[in-house]
Amino acid sequence: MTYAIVAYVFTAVVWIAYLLWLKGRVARARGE
Amino acid sequence: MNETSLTPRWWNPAGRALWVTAVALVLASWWAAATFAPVEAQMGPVQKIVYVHVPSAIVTLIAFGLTFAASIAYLTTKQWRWDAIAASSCELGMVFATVVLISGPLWARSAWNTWWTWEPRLTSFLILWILYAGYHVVRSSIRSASRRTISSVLGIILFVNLPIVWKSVEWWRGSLHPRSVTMTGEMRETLLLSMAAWIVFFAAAMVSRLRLEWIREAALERA
Repeated sequence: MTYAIVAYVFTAVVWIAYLLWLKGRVARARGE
Repeated sequence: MNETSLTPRWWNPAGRALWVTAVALVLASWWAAATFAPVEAQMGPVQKIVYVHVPSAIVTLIAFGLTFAASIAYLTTKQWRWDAIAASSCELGMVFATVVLISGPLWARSAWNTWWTWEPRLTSFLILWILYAGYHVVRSSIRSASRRTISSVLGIILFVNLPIVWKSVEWWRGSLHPRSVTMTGEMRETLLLSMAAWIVFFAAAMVSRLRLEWIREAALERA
């Protein structure tokens, strides 16, 4: 069960990290 | 010329609606995986990784397939929007592929008693990840006008990897991945919900990622 929980947590972490990075790039491209 | 003049009027409302639907579906699929889907008899609870691993793998192939189609469309029409779609889809495909490469070994450690083994599906998928990472390295290193054309050519060439990954379990011996899996009842329903959730999530992420391309294009046209 631990491995399954770790897999789901990693999935969430990867996507949150990517979306924050994307948000930062959008802000930089707008010159904010 | 600003970003809003490059995007249709329905773009932002559609993006918001997609994100609300995607997050709701992903949370529903995780709830279904935790409570609705039964525990698999042989592997136990770790098999529930299937509900994030398999949809992510499928969406990886969809994303790179879209990169292929959009690359052909760009070379045919020379419209920058197709290149934007190809690059955005390829980037999101990389994120989904990363999720596959993280969740897979966690499942393998329990199911096969090893984090990693050089069996056909794992090896071909790792090669796929490395080659598509190369797409981004090449794309980001070109500043000239040929950037879009070179990226499109790469997006087409790299597509050769997709059938290799898909068919690797049939073409080579020693595969630990099953050739086919038959699921029934709650397991199948949960997997289908998870597939739908991650496909909608991909669509929502595409809308957000494409916005970055519209902003960059608007900046280029102003310059």
